[in-house]
Amino acid sequence: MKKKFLHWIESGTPWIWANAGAVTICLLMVVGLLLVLTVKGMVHFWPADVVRADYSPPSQSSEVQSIEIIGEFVESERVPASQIIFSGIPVDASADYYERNLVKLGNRDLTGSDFSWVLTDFLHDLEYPQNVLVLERME
Amino acid sequence: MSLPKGSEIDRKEAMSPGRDGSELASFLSGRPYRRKLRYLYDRLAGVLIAVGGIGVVIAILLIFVYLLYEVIPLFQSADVQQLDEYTLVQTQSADLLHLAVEEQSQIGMRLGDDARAVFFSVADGSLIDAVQINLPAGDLITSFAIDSEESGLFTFGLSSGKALIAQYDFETTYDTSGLRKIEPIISFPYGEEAFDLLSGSAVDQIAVNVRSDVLILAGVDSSGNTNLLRITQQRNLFSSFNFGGGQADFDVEQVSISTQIPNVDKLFIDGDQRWLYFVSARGRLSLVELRPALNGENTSVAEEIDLLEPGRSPTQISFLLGGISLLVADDGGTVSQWFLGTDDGRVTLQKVRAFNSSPAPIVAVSPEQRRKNFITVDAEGYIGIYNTTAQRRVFYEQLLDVAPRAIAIAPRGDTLLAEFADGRISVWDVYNEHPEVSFSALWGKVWYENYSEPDYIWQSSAASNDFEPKYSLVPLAFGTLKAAFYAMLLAAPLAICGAIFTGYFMVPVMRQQVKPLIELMEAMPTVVLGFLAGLWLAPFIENNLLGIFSLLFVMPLGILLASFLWVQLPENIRHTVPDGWESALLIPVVIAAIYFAFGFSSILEGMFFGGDMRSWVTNDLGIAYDQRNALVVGLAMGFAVIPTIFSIAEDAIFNVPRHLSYGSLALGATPWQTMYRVVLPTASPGIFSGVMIGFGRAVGETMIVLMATGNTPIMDMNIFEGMRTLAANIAVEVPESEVASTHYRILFLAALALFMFTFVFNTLAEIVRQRLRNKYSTI
Repeated sequence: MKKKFLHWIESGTPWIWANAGAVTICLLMVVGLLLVLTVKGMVHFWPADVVRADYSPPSQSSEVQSIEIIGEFVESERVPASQIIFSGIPVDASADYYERNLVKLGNRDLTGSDFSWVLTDFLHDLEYPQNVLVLERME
Repeated sequence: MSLPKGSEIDRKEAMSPGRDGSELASFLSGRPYRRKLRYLYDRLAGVLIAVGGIGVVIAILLIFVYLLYEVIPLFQSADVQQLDEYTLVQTQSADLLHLAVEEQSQIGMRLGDDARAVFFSVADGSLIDAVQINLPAGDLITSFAIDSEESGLFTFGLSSGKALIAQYDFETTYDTSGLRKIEPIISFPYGEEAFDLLSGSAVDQIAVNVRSDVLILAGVDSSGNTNLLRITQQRNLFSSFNFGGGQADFDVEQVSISTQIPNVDKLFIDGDQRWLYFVSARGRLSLVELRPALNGENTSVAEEIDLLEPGRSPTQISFLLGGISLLVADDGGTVSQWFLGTDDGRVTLQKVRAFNSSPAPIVAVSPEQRRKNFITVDAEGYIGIYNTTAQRRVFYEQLLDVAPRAIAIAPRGDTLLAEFADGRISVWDVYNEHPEVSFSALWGKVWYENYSEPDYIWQSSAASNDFEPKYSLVPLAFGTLKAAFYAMLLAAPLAICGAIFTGYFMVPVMRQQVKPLIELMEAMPTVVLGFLAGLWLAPFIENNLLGIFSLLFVMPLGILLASFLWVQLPENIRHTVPDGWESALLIPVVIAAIYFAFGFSSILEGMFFGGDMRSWVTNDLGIAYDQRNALVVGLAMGFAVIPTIFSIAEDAIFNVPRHLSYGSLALGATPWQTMYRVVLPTASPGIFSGVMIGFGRAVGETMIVLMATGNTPIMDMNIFEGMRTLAANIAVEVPESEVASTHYRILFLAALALFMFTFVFNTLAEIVRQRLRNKYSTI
């Protein structure tokens, strides 16, 4: 094994491969950039599906409230459990991470904000109703 | 920039005599008119190319000349010319209290100690108006103070201990034909009645300051008792419509200061209404805090300091524009600037800088009203104009035959009045456009007002009029180099290594696809890159900081591991993919490395950094973190620079004559030895010029740094903080700056500096390239 390793070093192959890697990285950067632009840009033409779900996050009081949300998923991310507990939602501290979704709810006059973060684990009865229409109000 | 090898090929082809002999023969034996036509085309092409080349040089020269044309006025010194001299007949009897000029330099005002304000035409001295201010019966003026020339609010301290407040103003109106009419006004915004300041004893010295509806009046009598008046205007909604009729309401509070300060020669209130300055005739200054005094608390002298060396005495003391700096002129011809600072937590007055202006005693100092300039006149009639920030003497000449009694400078700093003891007034035209610029102001550390120490600051404008502009180009130059440095850190290795592989090892089929694809990056508008970097990459990096840094290790290790494993594979598998396809083989490896780095980083982050590396950097390491930082700029601008370097370096490597490498390989060298012993040295001039041109691009790049950094002109090499570059600074500030102002011209100076930098850099690169080329051309 050691002999093979030394032979590999002496032949100069690692350097050639390292240079080849640089080309690959450059190529993937170009393609990646074009992909990011396309994906981010094309979203404009394909509106997201509207989801309906019941959301019942744990709360400080013992009774669990369930609210119905209707909206579009915008993005999701993983956040440490400690951060969620700090923000006032008493989730299980032994779990390291929770996934949460940003939902576009719209109707700021009713909900107070256009977007809202929801914890994926506490969403249930997800469905994509057929008869939901998204309208844009111009003010 | 000529491509290093391309031109050579062209030349070779141009010199080679046709494809074969018959072509040459037919060329020579062509019909005469066709030969003439061909000759004509040849000449035409020659002329066109010559015109194009010379045109490029002329265009560059024109840019340079235009930049110079905008910049040169910065370095012209000031000029002062006499316009007129006359005597005001109406005022000879009274002693002068104050002399002033209005903004358009049409009307002058002379306030005498008979409480008469005489308004006269600056052009010829003819009387325009004279207003007698009514003093209480039997009272005499014992002291005088003015808030600022800009507000025109002044006060008389009277022999009965009262104080009278009045204001001079110039109202500009336009008649129907558009002609300007300026009318002088004396008004009494605080009523025509005198206020009781010192009960009984005469006001020996008085000071006044107005700041947003609060007027503070301080008076001291000959035995050192000080009284304060705070007059607060009660504004209501309707008072602003209340022209002339009726009096506004005032709250008047009178307090005495518990400390007695004897021998007060001059009294000042600073612009923030925080401190009272008492100065004795020998130049000893005592500082008393105003706020506790106004609240009726016991006060003490917070600081006592000698403004001058023993034996010298102050001739005139006044505040510089803004009421922060005190200008102390003495009988030794020196003007020194002082302002408050802290020394070990104790408030103290610091001597910031001194102007050793003339050998004779200074008789008058007049600060300008809109710039940090002041004008001095000494006993021998020398007039000096100075700028404090730039520490620059803009003008110094003996223009007056005798020392004047007082001088006044117009608000725009373009007219100077001097009144002599015999009643003569002389009028001078002042040309002084850019006093704020000096080498030290642009490139040195400057001690700005209210700063604890000299520093490099770029802060060109503010909302207030009395702001001290800070024009240090050092933070901008630093930011430019910082951005270029981080960009090159990413771009140079990737581009050069990529060029080595593409130009020498890669199979031609793949090379034909890869090269145009990477050069496609160059076609990407930088505004798109900047937009993406600022809005998508910056938050992405913030959330995946550890992933980005672990890529630095995971990526090379992954590639080397893949290389080692590939070599261990059985030959029949290896030989299905010939040499030169390594890049394609590595595509899945690189993607896997990226997934691995980002996937494992969140686990590592949870283990070592409490789940959030970004807050760990700030809280545990104590390093400031901005979302839009040098890392983001380095990645985005590196992206923009890669194709430039790659393209030129790849051309250079590809065009190394094949017989060199074949010779080396035939002598038993491995491909890699051939690469770095034979090919790289031969191609080094091209690679070098590629790197230099890439660097030049990184220095001049605007949109990426503009959009992907916070544009804060800080001097910090921290990769997690932003910067402001020269180019971005020009883009940000030129639309807002006043045409032909100092700020505007300094932006052009920055452009010129950028131009020169790129020019010098490219020239150096070209010289080095030529040297290297000569050295290796013998191979």
